[in-house]
Amino acid sequence: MYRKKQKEKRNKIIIICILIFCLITGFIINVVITDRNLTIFEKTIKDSVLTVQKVLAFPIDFVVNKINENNGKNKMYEKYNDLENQVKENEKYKVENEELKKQLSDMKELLNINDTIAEYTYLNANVINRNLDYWNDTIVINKGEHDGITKDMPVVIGTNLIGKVISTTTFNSTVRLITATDVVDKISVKIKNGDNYVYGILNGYNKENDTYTIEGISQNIKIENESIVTTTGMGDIFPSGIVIGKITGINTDTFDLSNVLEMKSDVNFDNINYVTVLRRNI
Amino acid sequence: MIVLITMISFFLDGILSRYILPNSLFLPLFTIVSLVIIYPYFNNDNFRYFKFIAIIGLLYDITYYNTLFYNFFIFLMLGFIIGLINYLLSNNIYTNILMTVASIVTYRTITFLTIIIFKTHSYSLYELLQSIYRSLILNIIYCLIIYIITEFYSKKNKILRSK
Repeated sequence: MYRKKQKEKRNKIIIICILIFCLITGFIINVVITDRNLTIFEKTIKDSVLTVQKVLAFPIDFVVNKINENNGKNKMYEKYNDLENQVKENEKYKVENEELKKQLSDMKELLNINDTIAEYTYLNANVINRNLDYWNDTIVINKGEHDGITKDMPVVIGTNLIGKVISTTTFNSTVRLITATDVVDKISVKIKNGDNYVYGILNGYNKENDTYTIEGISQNIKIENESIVTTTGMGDIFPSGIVIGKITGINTDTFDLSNVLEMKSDVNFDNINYVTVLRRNI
Repeated sequence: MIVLITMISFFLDGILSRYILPNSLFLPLFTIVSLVIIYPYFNNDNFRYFKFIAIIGLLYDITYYNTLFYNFFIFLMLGFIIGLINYLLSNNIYTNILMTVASIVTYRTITFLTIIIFKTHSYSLYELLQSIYRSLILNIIYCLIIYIITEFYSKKNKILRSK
């Protein structure tokens, strides 16, 4: 009788321990997820603290901008020449662009496609914070729900994809960069190969070489270096046609069954000050 | 003074993150350094110290990490380590550096383990070491500067601090 009671007691303790372990594990998982929706309480605190930070950072920004401005002035003449050449080229592109736009709208009507980069409006934002955490590559921008930004919106610099919005407050948003080595987040990409496209998956970033890995490409397909990699539009987060980078190397996987491509982005991720959020037109 | 040191460190962490490259040798963790510096000013009132750093941890979570109670717990753990070292050794410039190093190593290791276990990231031990040594230089310098300033200020204004 005594032994039975002892056994029951031990079983109860084990069950309680398992329950506590599960609760703590669940709690920690919930706690470390950075792309969850913030509560109103958190949003208010975050916005207030970041506003104070913006005010405090103003003198530092002012000095840094003045220094950059001064450095820029020294290269003014070179920049002027570059811009003059670009203006001449732009005229040519303008005509081409109008023709392509017309062709695209005809094609879209024909194929009933409505998720291309043209359906997005551009919203410029300043970077106010970079991740303090060594492990998560995130930035905080000064545009939020008030400006129509919602979770999962793609973020670009120029025409190059740099990440997506993972959480928003009223006046700020957090963006996870594509350099974050989160294996859960994979991006469907296509590589321009002659007149055709080859489809693959962007899977991981190598910090040391500053390159990305693209997997899922058949070994029979020959892809040239410098081929342009863009988004496919699959997955409903990134619209089709946003440039991610260029192919810099071609290897095979460990079983010699498929190609593993190395890609490099044109964006300098160490120096991001201004970004553009792509907001879908409704 | 406690609030001032912590708030300056807290905001400096955010502001400098824009100017310091993630791959540089000078990664700031000033808020953690401030936890080391402010400990003696609580005059062994550990309950008040833990209450204060818990609030700072929560603020750190919400502002910089988008998490809840993550840095809250880590900061409490760091507070325990800082309290233990202060209990075992007298508070001087060397123990402050020791506590800064211990806090940074603990902080980086805990965040590394949490990410490896719960967030399916693939990082190597080498990257953990890299994150530690990249954080040490700047934070030790900051610790020295803040220690000298607070020491001077507390002597001048006769502010009580535990030794």
